[in-house]
Amino acid sequence: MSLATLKGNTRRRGPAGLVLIILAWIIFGLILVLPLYIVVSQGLQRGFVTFWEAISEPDAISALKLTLLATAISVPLNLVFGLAAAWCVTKFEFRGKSLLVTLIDMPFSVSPVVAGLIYVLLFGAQSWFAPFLNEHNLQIVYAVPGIVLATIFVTFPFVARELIPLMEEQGTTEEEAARLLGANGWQMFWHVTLPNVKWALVYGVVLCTARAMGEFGAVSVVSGHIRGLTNTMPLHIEILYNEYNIVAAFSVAILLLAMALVVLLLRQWSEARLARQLDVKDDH
Amino acid sequence: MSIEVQNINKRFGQFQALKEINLHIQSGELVALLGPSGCGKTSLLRIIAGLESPDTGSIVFHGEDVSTHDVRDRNVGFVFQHYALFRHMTVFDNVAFGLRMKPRRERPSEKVIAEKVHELLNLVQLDWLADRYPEQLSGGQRQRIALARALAVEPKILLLDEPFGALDAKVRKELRRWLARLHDEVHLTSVFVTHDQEEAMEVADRIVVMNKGVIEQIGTPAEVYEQPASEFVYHFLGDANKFSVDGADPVLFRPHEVDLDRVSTPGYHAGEVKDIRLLGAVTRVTLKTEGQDELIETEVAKDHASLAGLRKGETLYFRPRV
Repeated sequence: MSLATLKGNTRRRGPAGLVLIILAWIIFGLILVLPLYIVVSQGLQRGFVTFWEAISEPDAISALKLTLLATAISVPLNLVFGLAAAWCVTKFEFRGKSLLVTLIDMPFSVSPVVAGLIYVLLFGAQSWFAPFLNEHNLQIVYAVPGIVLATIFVTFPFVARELIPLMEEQGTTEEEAARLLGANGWQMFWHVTLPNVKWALVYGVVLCTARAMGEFGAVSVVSGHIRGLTNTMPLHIEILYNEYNIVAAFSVAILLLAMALVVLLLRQWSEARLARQLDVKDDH
Repeated sequence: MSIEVQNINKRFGQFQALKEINLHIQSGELVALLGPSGCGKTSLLRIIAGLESPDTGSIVFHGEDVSTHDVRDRNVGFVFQHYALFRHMTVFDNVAFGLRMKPRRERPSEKVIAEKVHELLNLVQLDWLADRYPEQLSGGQRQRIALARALAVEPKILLLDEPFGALDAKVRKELRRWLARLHDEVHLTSVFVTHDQEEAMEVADRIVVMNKGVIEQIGTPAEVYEQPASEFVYHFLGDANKFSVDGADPVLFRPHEVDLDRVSTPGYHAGEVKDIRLLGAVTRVTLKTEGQDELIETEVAKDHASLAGLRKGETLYFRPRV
């Protein structure tokens, strides 16, 4: 068979290929587009005014604020922790390193509910720390600090997981070169290490943000569901839904969905940049 | 600036990488650390640079003990085996890096930095690549940029780890001649690591032959080649034949240290011709002798009288010239 006919064959799709592509579109429609359509149509079924009222009532606003607060605290902290952990694991040799790597991954394997329970057991009314916390009038569980802690816990691996493989591959010689040329630790980090992992870091932060905004399980356990105080957006949606306030539940869901879409676009963008960076390296 | 290496020992876990290393390198000298892989030559270079710390012993630069000095304070230029250029910076920024990292009061203005960088890029004959990124350069170009970057901070000592190791044969040859000329111009005390004896012979003033963490011999290229201190040095510095007659102590001789003849002559030994290879100016004839499994390799000028019409399987007579 000549090359020309081979090429012609691959260009002209057989019936099997066509069936597969149609099937893929059907599945995509059924499990992604249809639910999205339902969320949006349910939220907007009584018109935009009802939708607006649902997302602008005080409890919804406070849930939005709390979600943004928890995200705004946990993401920067995990950026720092993740960077520090990746640095430590990839640039140094020490005993117990593989144990540390396993521990970094633990939040991925532990059920979020269990993660929430850990904090209740640590800081709740029956815990070791309870006397100390009571004495100093501190409330962690069923309050904002608990929600932030739970969010940090479940989103901890994202940044480190993105950075470790890249930094491992890059090795330490560029850092050594920087030191030999007179750079101090901070200069080395700022001018050499950080630019080399920039896009992986952005990507990790985006994933971390998406998860922080959507986290339900762990936060649900530590929150206590106090309306207007400790309800994040996913929890608020659940409460509305359980009260058969379907329109309001879906209205808030639309808002959460919109936020997720923004994050998704950021993700797409950073992923493309990261891929380009890796491509350039693969060429050599 | 002279370098004094005193009683250096270094262990990695159970592995003794360096044993009691003592070495004196004079100011302005170009020295090669030569040895097979795993002999400790790179560890020694990294210890001199301050990238590794020795278990015992000290490093002295020009009378000053720098053993406890940090890498940054030793003022050595270092060229890595794979260059370690900063991948996200242009060639210009790579070379300017060392100057820009200086503390504010010592840091030259951007104008002075630019002049200095272009001067260095001209020195390595690559000024036209200033705006490129490392990944856009060939191996030989990266190598020269790495060198320019190391020279930018005006080091007193230049250390190079397998500087030509990752290049193809032709570029390697050009570049090492160029490095030898550059050394004559800038006259830095330079130490380079290599596993290639030809490279060491061609470039270095003195060669330090290392094996299994110890120094086997230190000497000029001629000394280590002509008067090897051990069988290891003899073998490492060039092809060698081992030949023993009637159970006597074996003699060592290099392929070109031989006389050949077609007819049996007193003092000559018979060998069956196994292979004839024309290698440019010389021809290599491989011989098999009675009572020895190891083949004898001989090299003579390609127009040598004994070669005329020679075929495999014929008998040739040889005498080691030792």
